[in-house]
Amino acid sequence: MSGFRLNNGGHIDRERKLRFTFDGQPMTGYEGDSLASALLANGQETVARSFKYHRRRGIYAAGADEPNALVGLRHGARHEPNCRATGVELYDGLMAESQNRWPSLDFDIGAMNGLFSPFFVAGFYYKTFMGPTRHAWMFYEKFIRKAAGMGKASMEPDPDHYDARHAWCDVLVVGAGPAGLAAARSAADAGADVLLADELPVPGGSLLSETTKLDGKTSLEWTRREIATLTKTGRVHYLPRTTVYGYYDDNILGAVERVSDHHPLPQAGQPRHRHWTIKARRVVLATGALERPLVFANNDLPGVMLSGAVRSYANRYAVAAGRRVVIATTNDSGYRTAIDLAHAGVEVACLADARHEPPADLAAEAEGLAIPVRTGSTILAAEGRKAVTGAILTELDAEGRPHGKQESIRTDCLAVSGGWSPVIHLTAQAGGKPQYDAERGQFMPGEVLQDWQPAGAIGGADSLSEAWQQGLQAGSAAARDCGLTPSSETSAPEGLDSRKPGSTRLLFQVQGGKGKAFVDLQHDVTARDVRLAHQEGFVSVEHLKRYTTLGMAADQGKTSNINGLAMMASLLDVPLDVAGTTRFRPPYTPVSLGALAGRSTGTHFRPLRRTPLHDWHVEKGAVMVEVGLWQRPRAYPGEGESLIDAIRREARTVRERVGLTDVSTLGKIEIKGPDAPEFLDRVYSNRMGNLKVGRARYGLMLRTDGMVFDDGTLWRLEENRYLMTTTTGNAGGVMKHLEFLLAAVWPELKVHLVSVSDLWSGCAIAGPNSRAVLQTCVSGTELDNDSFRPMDVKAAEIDGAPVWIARLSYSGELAYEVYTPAPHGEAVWKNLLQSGKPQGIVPYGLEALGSLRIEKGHVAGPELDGRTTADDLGLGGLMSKKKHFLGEALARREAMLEADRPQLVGLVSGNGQPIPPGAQLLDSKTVREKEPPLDAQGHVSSPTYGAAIGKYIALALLHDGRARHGESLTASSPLTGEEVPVVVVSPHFYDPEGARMNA
Amino acid sequence: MYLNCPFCGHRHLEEFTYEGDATISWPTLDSQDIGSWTDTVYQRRNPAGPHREYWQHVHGCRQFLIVERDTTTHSIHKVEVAGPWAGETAPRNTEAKQ
Amino acid sequence: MPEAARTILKRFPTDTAEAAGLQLRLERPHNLLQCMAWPGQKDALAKAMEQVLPSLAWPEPGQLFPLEEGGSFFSTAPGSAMLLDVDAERAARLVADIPMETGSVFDQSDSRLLLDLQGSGVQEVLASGLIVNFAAWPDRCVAATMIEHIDVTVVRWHAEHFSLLVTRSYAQSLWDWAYETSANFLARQAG
Repeated sequence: MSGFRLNNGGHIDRERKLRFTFDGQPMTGYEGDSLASALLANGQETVARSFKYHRRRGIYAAGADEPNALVGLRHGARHEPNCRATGVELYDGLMAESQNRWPSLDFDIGAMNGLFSPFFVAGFYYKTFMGPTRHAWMFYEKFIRKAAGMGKASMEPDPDHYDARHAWCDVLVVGAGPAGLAAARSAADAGADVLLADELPVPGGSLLSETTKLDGKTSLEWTRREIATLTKTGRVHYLPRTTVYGYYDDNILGAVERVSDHHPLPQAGQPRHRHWTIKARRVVLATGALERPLVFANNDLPGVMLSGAVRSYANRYAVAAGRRVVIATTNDSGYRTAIDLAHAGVEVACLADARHEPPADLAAEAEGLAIPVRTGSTILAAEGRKAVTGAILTELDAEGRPHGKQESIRTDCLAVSGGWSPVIHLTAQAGGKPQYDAERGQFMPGEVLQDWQPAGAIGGADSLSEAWQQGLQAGSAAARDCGLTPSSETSAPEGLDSRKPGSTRLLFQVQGGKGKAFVDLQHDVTARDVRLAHQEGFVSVEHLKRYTTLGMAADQGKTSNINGLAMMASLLDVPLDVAGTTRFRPPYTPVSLGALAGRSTGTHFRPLRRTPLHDWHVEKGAVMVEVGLWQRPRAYPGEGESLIDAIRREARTVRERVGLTDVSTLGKIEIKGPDAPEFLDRVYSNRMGNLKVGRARYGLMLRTDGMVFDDGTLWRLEENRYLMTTTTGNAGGVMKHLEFLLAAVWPELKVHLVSVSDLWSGCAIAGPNSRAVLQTCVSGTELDNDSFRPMDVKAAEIDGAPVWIARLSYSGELAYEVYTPAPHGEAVWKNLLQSGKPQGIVPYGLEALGSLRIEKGHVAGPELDGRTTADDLGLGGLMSKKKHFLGEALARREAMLEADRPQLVGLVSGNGQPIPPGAQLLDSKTVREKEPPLDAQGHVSSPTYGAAIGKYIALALLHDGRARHGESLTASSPLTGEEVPVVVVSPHFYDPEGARMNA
Repeated sequence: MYLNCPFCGHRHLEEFTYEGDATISWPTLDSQDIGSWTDTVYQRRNPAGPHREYWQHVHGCRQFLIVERDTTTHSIHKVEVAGPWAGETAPRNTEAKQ
Repeated sequence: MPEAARTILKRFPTDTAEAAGLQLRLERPHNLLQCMAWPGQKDALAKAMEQVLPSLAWPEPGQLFPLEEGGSFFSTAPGSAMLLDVDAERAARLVADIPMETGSVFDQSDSRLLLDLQGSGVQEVLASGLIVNFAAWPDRCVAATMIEHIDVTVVRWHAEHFSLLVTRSYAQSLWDWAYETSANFLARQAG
């Protein structure tokens, strides 16, 4: 039991005690604790088992860089694996579980992996599991998959909702530490709208780990008051618990606010997380710095921690990480840890400074506190079994190699500092390749393509005071770039340290100790793995990363990247800037999928389009289906009626009596303008310019490459008013096509287009009794065959509702399309059904509609698949020879006119079985050949059961089809294993003369 | 990424769709020359560097825009309206951001 | 389909609803006419329209021009402007009287529904889905944009009153989104 709570200090509320459990063990903490600090305070040493070797791991860091302490939180549907305990705000009733161990954290069978560790080096799965056969991998993969990963995700649907916000601001300040707070102050002072985001729940950043008072207050008191002052200006929006995870083009940044993670359940109306898409005119990055560890033998034992983290735990959370602490440092910060621990009454057994000449003032202060200091020394190896119990110190030579005296020392907490690296991830994402500053021994931001300012560590600030001043300047500069008068604010709080620190001794690895030396703790990558990669030729940092998986864990190598590439650079004997870094990619820390999905889940996944008759269909019990974004009725099964029976009944009723179907989803475009006739002539393959008022015509539109694009009808309602209909699926495509032609190709044409798809409620009434039904309810026009000819369009009324009626047939029966403005849609529909009762009218859905048109030989989507020409479809007659139209030239290319192109034919099933959709058509010779590839003659495009002819039929595209009527083929569907004999016939199965629709 | 639509102003990329190379030319409709129609439909340069291309402001003014974009750096230099309203909507120089 | 005015949110005690309330209404606009000029003919079209609506002037992009005769005029595309809620008689005259050479008038009254949002929480609700910076707009500002893949024309009457014009077939989806967002907002206010 090494960690314990200190009696004084910390930014915790000792009045608010919180209860929580870890692996079922009840523990307590305080408001203000993180789960990590509370676990430390309760003396918990092992918190996890490592990824590959299942070694014991303890808490290592205090922030986003934590590699070890990954726990599972919550239960059931809200269970969340892999939570960094350092980022979890403690709340009353929190339940945490350790991961990657069985049966328990203390006794984990997986630790046996340690015995096989020589086989588990980097790249082992590329070399093993390769035999004995090629398919062996799929066998091994099952077991490897089970063993992989850390926590387990819940398989239940997420009960929480997630929100999204889009925000605009003048200045986005990332980080509410000293530099960020200063930037927010000066930017707000200049009049800028400021968004201030910080990943912590409280403001202050690194200030929270300091003990000095600011303006006489504790750091948290001071930062809270600063936030209050900033917020009162009305121009600063402070976002705590918000990580800015990505920096994109055009100064767009992504952030996630953890709105309710610190409650057991989200409160009323609260989302779990909220995603922010922020468009900032200027960005100030005040993201601070992360500490590097040293790589030495057994450096993964619980109790080995980052020195800065040990200091944070003491000063921010009032937790001592151990009772007898040893600190190994290469820079001044290790002294801060030692001094603060000593002030708190914790024994510091030794401070090993790798530098031979430490700064005199710090050395003196340490001596004054009776802290033994060893210069030119560092840790060779940690010792211990379940946790660290001792360390071996060694002296170093000028090259940083162990040399001379070694000393064993007892300790239960080994605090290590290899130096500090500014958090440059966002600048790298924004296009700035990190530049190595050899003097500072740090990677600094490179040339960034976006509009931003650095402040603090990222700007090279060496003291809190300098960070503050940089922040003021950055905020001011950002405001000035937004066109505001920059602030003249220069004041700083009393107590900010301005001491210029001494240099850092660059030391990454201490070689020679006995035991595994870890580089990437989360992925169990050792120093040996890096050497192996080098040995096998994977020497570029990108290869090193992927071959060893160093830096690929959820912590993205925050404590391992620099050490890894420094080690590789050393092996290659090149300087660090030559070795370079790998690319940083968003997100900076893991982001929930829920936050990224936002509101677009469930019913909001995509919008649903409903026709004016939607409610009626649903009430009638229609089986609805999604067609693109639309909801359409497939059929209306009656009581006890199967779907298939309903479809056949509906189709039969249309052929024998009359039916009514909803065609509101068709694309509809209203066209006006003096050049409209000319324009229509150009876009349709058949003549349209001569269409008279009160007439409609079927039209074919080609793509510029000569293939059929869409078919539809054109109605001339008035002299200067056309209504164009398109297929449902191509409505948007046709509109875009027409708009493009008028903007880019023929801008001189005066044509106005407006989409009216939603304006009209449309239905088709079809069947021999359809005229009789209309005669019952339509007023304002004559309906007999001489007055209302095929393709006529007339304005009329149905019980006061204005309608346009066009005599068009898709089914091949006598039929009319009745359009009325959407508000009248349902009334007109009901009226027609009521009027049609004596004639036996039924509503019919998409399936029957399809079946009827197939029987008639009408082409639709499956035939207009972008590979067919008008000629292929037997519509060559619609390619006008009297005018020029789009697609004409390329439709007449040689290959398009070849005789054996796929041509539209009909098929009749030879054995009473349905013809499989998409089946390939094979001739008898090919069928006898067993081995693929087989030469297919064509394919089945639209199969159905023909209600009128009583057989299974299909439309198909067959090479040279028109010359092969009567031929027997096989429709073969290898995917479903079906084979059906078919006979080739004319695609017009039913009433080829058209007598019925012209009656 | 944002596009500065000359009519609507700075808008998020989600509101637009990419509509291809704007440097292609179109033969007159009566031309039967397969070669020039093939060029229009199939031939594209695909340069690494400045590129003039069409974007449609589908979820906005629905105008077709001609955008000058650098295909290597992704920066946008100029946006103008294509078509008959080009004369009445000034092109936006996107260096002067919002 | 939503046709008449829908319910105002009644979940919460009346005083809370008033203090931090939100009102949603979905209805058919009285009238919506799309008026499109030929290139170079914008002024000529405006002049022709003045015969029916004397106070009319062609609006600047994004600007909503209120008419003395009732209704508003706004432009969301070059050469194209919408007349909202003018009286029926004038609307009919415009559709009939504007000559083809000057421009075209389309009656779009039945193609859109109007989702009206009022209250102090309106901006926070809209910020959840609108990708334009409406908070920075002046009053009587209009833009064609989208919410969650649904095309909308957004009108800012003032800081606490916005209207969204949406094509009919999408209206139910938009209503569902707005209602749910508003309900969550009010729940957070109350809780």
